[in-house]
Amino acid sequence: MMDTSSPTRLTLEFAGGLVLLALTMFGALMFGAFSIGVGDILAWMFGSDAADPAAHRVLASIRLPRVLAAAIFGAALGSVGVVLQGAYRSPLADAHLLGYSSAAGAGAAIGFAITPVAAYPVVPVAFAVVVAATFGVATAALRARAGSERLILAGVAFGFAMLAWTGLFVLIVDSPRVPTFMFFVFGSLSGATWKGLVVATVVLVPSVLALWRNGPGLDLLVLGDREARTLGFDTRRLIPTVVAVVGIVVGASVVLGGVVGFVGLLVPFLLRPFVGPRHRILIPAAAIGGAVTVVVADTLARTVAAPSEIPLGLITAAVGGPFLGWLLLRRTPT
Amino acid sequence: MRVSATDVCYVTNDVELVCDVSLDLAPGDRVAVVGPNGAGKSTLLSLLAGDLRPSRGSVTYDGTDVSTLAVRHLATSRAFLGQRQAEDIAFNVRQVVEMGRYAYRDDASNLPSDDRRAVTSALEALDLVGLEPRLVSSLSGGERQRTAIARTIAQETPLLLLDEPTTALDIGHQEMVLRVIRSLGGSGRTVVAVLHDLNMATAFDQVVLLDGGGVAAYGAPEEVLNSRSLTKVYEHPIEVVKHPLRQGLLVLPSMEA
Repeated sequence: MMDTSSPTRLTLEFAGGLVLLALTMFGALMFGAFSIGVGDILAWMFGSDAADPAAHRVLASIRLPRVLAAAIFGAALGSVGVVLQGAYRSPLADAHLLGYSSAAGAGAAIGFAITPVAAYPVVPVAFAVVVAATFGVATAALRARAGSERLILAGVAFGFAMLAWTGLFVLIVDSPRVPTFMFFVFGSLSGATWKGLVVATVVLVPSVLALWRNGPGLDLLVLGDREARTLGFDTRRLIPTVVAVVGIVVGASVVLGGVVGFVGLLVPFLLRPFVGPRHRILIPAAAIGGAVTVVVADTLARTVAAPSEIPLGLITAAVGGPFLGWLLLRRTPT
Repeated sequence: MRVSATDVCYVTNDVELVCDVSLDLAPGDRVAVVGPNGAGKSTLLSLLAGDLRPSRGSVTYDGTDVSTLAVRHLATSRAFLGQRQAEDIAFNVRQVVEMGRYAYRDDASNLPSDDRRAVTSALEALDLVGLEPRLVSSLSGGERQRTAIARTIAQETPLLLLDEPTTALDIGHQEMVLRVIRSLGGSGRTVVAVLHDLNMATAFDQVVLLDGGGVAAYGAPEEVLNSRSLTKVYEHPIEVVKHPLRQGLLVLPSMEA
């Protein structure tokens, strides 16, 4: 296999990834219920008044916050996937497969069911449920870290249970609010606003940086828990800390974009052969890859059936599901 | 660093895996731990490493109880080589050896050049220089074992605890590992190695013969490795003769069995 540790090569790969992200985001600004030309976007970016004022309004208040939200949401999903795969030593560990995202969905359902009209209480309830669920599953999983297959199965079982609870609460929710709610459960960035984006960024950026800081320790886990500990990584203290931060990231991203699966699984898997297994490299790489993926998926969600929208989670699952099947039949080293 | 175990016992599920073991090791001591399967060799090593907490008694490094030391501090005091090495690893040989330097991260007195020197000399000592860019998952069992040993050497600790270091190694590399252990002892580091091959134990300064979790004999190889005590502990007739070609002993299973 090629040497993935060369600094020159990595610099080029990262530069390429960032250029790709910039192009994708620019493209995402163009497409939507209402197409905007390259010239209009450039004119708006450079503060010229020459172009269409309607296009300016759409760009500033709808499309730009949405594209930025897609990028940060995807970055969070990608990096969290890498961290979970490292912490659980399984290329299949993922917030969605382990049931964390479904727990957040159930939390949102509870929030919808117990609040009369306003959607605001949904946010803290969903957030609290996902953090609690992550912690519960993580503690149980850490105690039984023997095999990753058992962990995934337990996660899938937990996810199904959460989905069932979600269904039960949907039946309680009054009908006019069900469509909004469904967008939450299947993931959507249609609710993106500048305010929500700022709050999500404030929570997500420091959390992902904290996870990145633990990168070299997560690297040691490939040798085994005991080896990692004898090399100085305090697994008993640091893995629960890492998983708690993952809970915060998953909670905040579900609040931002709902339940979106497979990005955290696909992106790291595709990038590993190019950037290697080191977490300090893989976490930012998966953040860029996740951002590109979600920006593209969200553009499809907005345009495929325009003017109506397709839930984002359906698009990632439609592609990610078959991919997971293929992954399960073809093992590669972590 | 002075390493002491005082009346150490380890009990799990009402079985005493190690009982009343006392050792006192000075810097530079090289100790072989031998004994039949299930004698408590690996358990004793984990107790000395601070990885298991003794049910009774204590293990100290320079007088400090190891159970009070932080994980990070322990990692700069002792290196530990486990019995089995993970295989399915996408890191290359050099990256795995660099993992031995983890505990020195964020330590202001440790320079990147220190890490490079430690890693390079460990790779050279274990004959791994040409294998550096190879992924561990593509190595043979013996190459993987040498990579793991190099990782413990790169840790540059005063104490090395090695569980069957020569497993999977060809005869030339077995001798190489014994040479490395000898030179570690020469530079004042303490080495404790669990061994299956009793002939290798003859190359150590001291031998601990374990039986049923307790110390059956402890002393210089010539004192411990004798036909009578080995036959008794291994429950198989064993002969010990003077090596015909060089100084030292030769341990052989008796043909009469």
